[in-house]
This record gives sequence, structure tokens and C-alpha cells, in this order.
Amino acid sequence: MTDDESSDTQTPVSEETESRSQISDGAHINLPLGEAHTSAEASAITSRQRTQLVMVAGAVRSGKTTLLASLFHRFQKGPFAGLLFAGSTTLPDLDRRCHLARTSSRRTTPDTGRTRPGVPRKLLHLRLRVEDLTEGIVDVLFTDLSGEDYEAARNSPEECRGMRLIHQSDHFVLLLDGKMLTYPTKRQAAKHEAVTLLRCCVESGQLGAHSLVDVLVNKWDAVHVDDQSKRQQNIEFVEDVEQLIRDRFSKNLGRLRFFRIAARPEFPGFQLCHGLEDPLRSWTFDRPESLLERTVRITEPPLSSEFERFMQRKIPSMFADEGK
Amino acid sequence: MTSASSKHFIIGLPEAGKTTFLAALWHVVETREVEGSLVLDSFHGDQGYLHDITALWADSNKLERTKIPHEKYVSMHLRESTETVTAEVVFTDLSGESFQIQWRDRQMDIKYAKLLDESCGGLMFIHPLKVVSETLISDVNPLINRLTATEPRSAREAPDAEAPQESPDEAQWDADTSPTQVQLVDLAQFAVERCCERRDKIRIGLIVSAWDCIDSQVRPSEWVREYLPLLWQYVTANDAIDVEYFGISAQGGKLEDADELREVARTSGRCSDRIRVVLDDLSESHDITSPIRWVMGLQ
Repeated sequence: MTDDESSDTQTPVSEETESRSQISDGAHINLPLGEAHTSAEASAITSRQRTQLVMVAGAVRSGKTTLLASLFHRFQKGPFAGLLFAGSTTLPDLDRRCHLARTSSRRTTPDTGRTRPGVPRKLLHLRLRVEDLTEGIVDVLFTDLSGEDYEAARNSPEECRGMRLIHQSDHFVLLLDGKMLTYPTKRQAAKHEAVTLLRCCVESGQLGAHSLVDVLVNKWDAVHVDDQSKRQQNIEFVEDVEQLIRDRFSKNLGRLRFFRIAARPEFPGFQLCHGLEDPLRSWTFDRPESLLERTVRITEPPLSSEFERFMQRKIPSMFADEGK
Repeated sequence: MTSASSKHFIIGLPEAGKTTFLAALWHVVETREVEGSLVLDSFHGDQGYLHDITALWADSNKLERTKIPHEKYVSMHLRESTETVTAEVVFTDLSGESFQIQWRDRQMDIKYAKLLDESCGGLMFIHPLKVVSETLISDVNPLINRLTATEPRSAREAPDAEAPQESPDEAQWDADTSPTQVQLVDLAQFAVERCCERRDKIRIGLIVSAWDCIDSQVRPSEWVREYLPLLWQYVTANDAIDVEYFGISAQGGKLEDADELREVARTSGRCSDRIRVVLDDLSESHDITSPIRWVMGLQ
């Protein structure tokens, strides 16, 4: 993958914005197209207020775009995960991504359109607010990159380093295709792809002690088959994969968690966005800075006297480096 | 005598009930039939158009849907009947097609844009029988499976099922078929963004028209929350929006029962007796100006 970040930032925001707001004829003005944002366009959101950037990574057809479309489907049914939908600057593009899962597409099985590799428009936007309105609105930007983009990053440290959004993200979400993990002939490849991508991101410095990483085993409904014996085999393999990732990467990352989800379940017994409540709340509210603060607090040695504790409360900057 | 000026916009997709509302409103403010309603102070626009639609409404006839070439901008200046101080409210009647163009073609009529710049609130119309909701294949398939007694395939039975096959008659995404609530949120966002460039907060009156089609025990806000949850969440979550809900039947019933509607008007001598305005506390009146009074900040 080429460094699409660089090409994005080379597009002046003012020029882009200007062309979209100009009067198109004597009678109309052009409205924002509502497409996924480039990084440069997204700066208009990030500079305005608190914004969370969620990098959704994974192999081809692991369900990255489906995850985002399913969240939008879910909010169309009502509040989700204790959160209210408060708007979006990319509504038409979100709606377009939902199309193939609707009966109006005339399909009989749901699908999601493939995301093309290397597209500069890759950030989808949701504004969310906690349901009891006790906190303000949070802007959340989700990346929607193709599996091929991550394949390139997996195969080349240069490509991986070029994906600067990984480093900039508040949350790195790695999707594992749970369905693939149930196929004896494909499960090792699926595991290998996930582990290799994480390794490349860690070795290139894109992910590290500053990173909040969630590994989501998607299509959990396909793992959870009726046959008890097969189900147990599936679950054991997933547990092995999770343990492998935990053993290899947990010491390198600020936080590493595992979730089992079904963004758009095919099989009975699972609701839309199964298992996504906790991750979504975390992506909306948890910030790497707060994790770092917690780490400092946990690792710092106990202060020896009440006076030192008092001093720390009064002049926290004096003690900022302790415990690192 | 105008001492204050406030402008208000109207949002509504095609056949949302805007024109019927306007016809009934014109009748009420001009005739002053409804006690306590706002009254007409002055007026700008095509009075002939208003008289035409009001005459059709008064006789319980179907009003033709407004087409863009016949789009009429109507400006009414209303005030409280008992007050000497008047407030000015400017209404714009737009065809629903122009709102579809905003969503589909991403273009906004420049006169509407200027109105938004000057507005401090507006009314959004929703027709309960015209709401298009999304239906997910994944919601429908289990029902079909149950009806046809088909067991869902297991993942192991379909090892290559990771790539769903294309349907031969698959339809392309068409913005016109997008769910009503998605379109309305986008239209509201455009309005709020422009209005709030000059003010912190705007008032939006959400009007569910043809309220006679709705169960009488349901509050308008409950109906919106149930049938347009995305829109409900949007207006609830945004502090820049002060929202109030109204259920309004400007015709007073179904046009198939036009004879009964005409009888109501004939018996009382007031066409406005047909009008039903339901507030969110389920109180009812014939005062079709109450949403305007609310967006004007008079209550």
C-alpha cells in the first residue's frame, strides 16, 4: 500500500472544503457529500472537540466494514450500549454500506460491499453520547480500510510504518474471522495472519505501551455451533489463538483485551452487534492517556511519608517521572 | 406593528403533510376561529396559492402534492391575539422533493439556505404512513426459515460460505430508498449546523401529521421514539436542539370519510373544529398554531 496518509495530508483542507461549499449555480449551494473522510477532512472534526480514532484492522472479509455498518444498523433500532446516536458527517456513506444487508437490495443473504484497497476516503464518523446525558457528545472516527491494505502492512515493515493512522489511533481493533477459525483447512492461516499483523505493528513501533488493543473474534455465532463436540473444538482453538496473542504481545502493549462478537450474526440465538456493547463504550470513552496515568499510578513506588503524598497532591509535576 | 422578528423553517419529505398543515393554518389565522390561537398580522407571498389550497382543505378535498416548479414560499407574520407586541414568524413551504435533493444530490436551495441562516427554529413534518424503515435480511430470514421449516446451515456444512454470492437481480444503492429516519437526521443536521452558526440553541417542533392514524393513547414523542429511533436519539442527544413533539391531524380524519368531515364543519360552522392537535401530555385542541407558538418561544 502506498502511504495514503501522506497523499491525504497533501490535499489542502481549505481547498477541499471551499470546493464543497461553493455555490454551484444561481439557485443552489453544494452540501457536503457525506462520504467517508480523508485524514485531512477529518481534522475539521478532531480540531473541534474530543474525538476518538478507532483503527479497525483485519484480513479480507473478516468483517471490518460489516462491523461499522452493523453499528449503524443497530442505532437505527434504538440506543445501544447505553449510548445515543448524536449525528454523523458521513451518513450517506454509512447508509450505502448498509445497503446489501437490507431486503431493498433484493438479495436473499446479507452482504457488505468490498472496500477497495488504497482509497483515501477511509474514515467513517459517528457522534455518540451516553444515554443519561451526563456527559457530552463524543466524536468517534472509525477507519474503513481494505483487507488488502492490512495484507500489505503485514508483508512489509515499510508499508506498516506508512500507516500512520495505526500510531495515531486511540484504539487498535483487530478482527479475527471466527468462521475461518472453524475450518480445519483455513484456521491456521487465519491465526497466522492476525499474529503477523500484530507483530509487524509492534516491531515497526506503530503499536506499543501507548496502545489500547482489542482483539475481536467476529462471527462468534458460526463458532458456537449446535453440535457440542464441534463447538468445544472451535472454542478451544479460539482460546489457543487468544492465549498465543496474549503471551506474545501483552507485555508490549498498553492494554490487550479479547472479545467474542457477532456483528451481523447469521445463525439463531444471536442479536445484531452481539458482544459489541463493552467494546463500543470503551472505544467511545477510554483514552490512551488515561491508561498511561493508570499505569504510572500502579507502577509508582509507594510514597514514604504523608508529607511526600501531600507534596504530590500539591505539585504533581514534581513526581511525574517517578514510576516510569 | 412588528417589534420582534424570528424566522422559522419547515422540513419534510414528500407527502409529509406540510401543505395540508399550511392550508389549515392559513384558515385558522385568517378566520380567527380558534380561541387563543395566533393570528395573522401580515403576509408576504402568493395569496392565490394559499386560498386555493385552503379552499380544497376546507371542503375536505385531497391537496395536490407540491411539485418543485410550483414551490411556494409563504411568509406569515403571526402574533398573539391579545398582545399588542407582535412577533414575526416567516414560514416557507417547500416541496418535499427539494429535501430529497438535499439528501440525494447534496444540493440546497439558496433561498432555503439563507432562511436557515436567519432562523431560530422550525418544524419538521413526518407522515406516519409514509415512513420507510430498513428491513434487514438477517431479521427476515429466521422467519422464512420458520415458515418453510428450513434449518440454518451450519458453518461446517458450508465451508466456502465466507463470500456471499451475488444475487442476479441485486439492486444498487439508491438514496431515494434510504430509511426515512436517516434522511431526516441528515436534513436536520444541515439545518442545525447553519442555524447554530449564529446561536447556541434552536427549537424544533416535530410534527407527526395524520395523527388520526395513530393509537390515541400514544404520546407523539413515544411514537417518534418507536418508529424513528435514530431521529429521536439525534434530537435528544444534541444540546443545541430544544425539541417538542406534536401529533396533528389537519384534516381531522381520513379523506375517504370526507362526508363525515364536512358534516363536522357544517354542524359547528367552523372548519377548524376538524383539526386535532395533540400535545405530548396528550391534551388536545384545535389550535394548529400551537407548534408555531412553541418554536417562537411564546410558551
